[in-house]
Amino acid sequence: MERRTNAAAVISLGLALAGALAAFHSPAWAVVLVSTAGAAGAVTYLFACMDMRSSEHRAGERLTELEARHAEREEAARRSLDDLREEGRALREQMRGYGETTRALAEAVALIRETAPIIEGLSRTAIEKSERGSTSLTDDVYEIGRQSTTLSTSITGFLTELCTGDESLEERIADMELDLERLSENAAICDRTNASLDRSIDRISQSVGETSELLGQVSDIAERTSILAINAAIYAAKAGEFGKGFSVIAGEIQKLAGTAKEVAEAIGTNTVSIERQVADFSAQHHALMADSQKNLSRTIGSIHHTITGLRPRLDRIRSSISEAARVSDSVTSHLSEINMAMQQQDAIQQIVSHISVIFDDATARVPESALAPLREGQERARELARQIAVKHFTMEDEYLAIGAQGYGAGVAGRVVLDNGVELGGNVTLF
Amino acid sequence: MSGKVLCIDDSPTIRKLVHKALDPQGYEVQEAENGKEALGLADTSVDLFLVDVHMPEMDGFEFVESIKQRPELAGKPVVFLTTESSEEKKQRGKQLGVNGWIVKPFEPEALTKVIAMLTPAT
Repeated sequence: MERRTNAAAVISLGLALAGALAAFHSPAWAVVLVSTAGAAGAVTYLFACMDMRSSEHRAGERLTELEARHAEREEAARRSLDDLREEGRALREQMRGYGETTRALAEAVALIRETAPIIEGLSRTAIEKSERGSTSLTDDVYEIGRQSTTLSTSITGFLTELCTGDESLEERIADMELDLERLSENAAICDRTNASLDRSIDRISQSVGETSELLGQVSDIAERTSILAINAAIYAAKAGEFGKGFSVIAGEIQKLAGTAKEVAEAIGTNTVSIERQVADFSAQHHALMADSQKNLSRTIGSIHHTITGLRPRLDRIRSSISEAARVSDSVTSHLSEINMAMQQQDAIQQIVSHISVIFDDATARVPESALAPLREGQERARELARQIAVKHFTMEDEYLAIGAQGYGAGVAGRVVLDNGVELGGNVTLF
Repeated sequence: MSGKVLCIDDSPTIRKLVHKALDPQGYEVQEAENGKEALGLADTSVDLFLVDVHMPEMDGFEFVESIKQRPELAGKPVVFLTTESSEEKKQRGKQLGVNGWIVKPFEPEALTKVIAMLTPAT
């Protein structure tokens, strides 16, 4: 409907404009056009009146509709308002919770910040102690290694010297073996000499016996010669003057017989003496030889035993040389491993240092405003941090790391035992 | 083997361990705690610089940059001995003209071999 009114108005306006334009060219056309425009305007007015009535009707319907919708929305708004009030109450509750949480967080942050210097102090102490320990341990271990290597080299040199060269134990053993052979030969020679001597002594005894027999015969001859001389002297006396010369001869023969008998007896005495001396010598010789042989046998046995004992020892010495060399290599290898272990220790020191720095850096970034809710509780946080730290401390160095003297750190006393020996380190006797 | 090695490391433990590794091989080991101190000790008598990366005062890279600008030292071999193992840092070292990069913990034998290889004429 409104479109119709609008169209009529447009037409009316167009015709009026056309009439105005045509007035410059043709008044007749202008009259026609303006008249037509007037008609169109009337129609337009008519249409407009009709549209107005129609619009009023629709407006009434629309108003009713809007009133109904308004009532609905008002109801909805009331419900929303109720909901919002409820949410507001919940939010206020939540905010109160957040406030408590924020306060707790602030307390925690304050605690962490107060803990930072403690951790830094502990880290520094740990690093210093570890560094001192590492340095000292490195020196000690390398000194042990050096001394071990020196000892091993010395032992190896000594043992090698025992096994090689002209003065070596091996050469000595070889010499002893030759000596043993020579001693064995000498013992055999002694045995043979002894037997030979026995045989000689037997022969001497036999000769002495034979000589004694011969001397007996000589004595017998001298005895018989003496008797013969006596008989001759008797017969010479009977012969008187003629027998005087023969009597002298008989007397001389008797003297010779007596001398022969004396010589035979002297020889017999000497022979007995010789026999006794030979017997004594033989006895002494046998005793001496027996002792010598016993000693020689013992010496041979001893040397043999020594050689028998030295041979395996020589083998053990050779084995010990290899073992000493192996020990030296092992020491070198272990030193290398210890060197690497010390580096790991150094790496741990660095890591601890890094942890401390990171923690310190992180806590330093906590803004002061974050601590605002706890401004009045800073001192409490500080004391709480110290209490927590001290609760877990066990070492004096830990107490000292936070300057917490008087937190139970003991003072190392000088302890001297009854025997005057002073104990090192921190010792307490009750 | 012989020669003078300037060991630059802020860890006394590491300096001592380097001593223990190189002394028996006949090397003279001089120590510095950081790059700044090392610059005062660096002269032509040094045959090789053994340098840590992370040090206070002046780190290893800064030290190497400094000696590379000194003509009498620019040609001296440099080996980094460090816990740092990132490829980026290694490349930076390579670009600076560093000759070797040993990551801790080092094996004493490996260290002596690297140094012997880089100081053959000493």
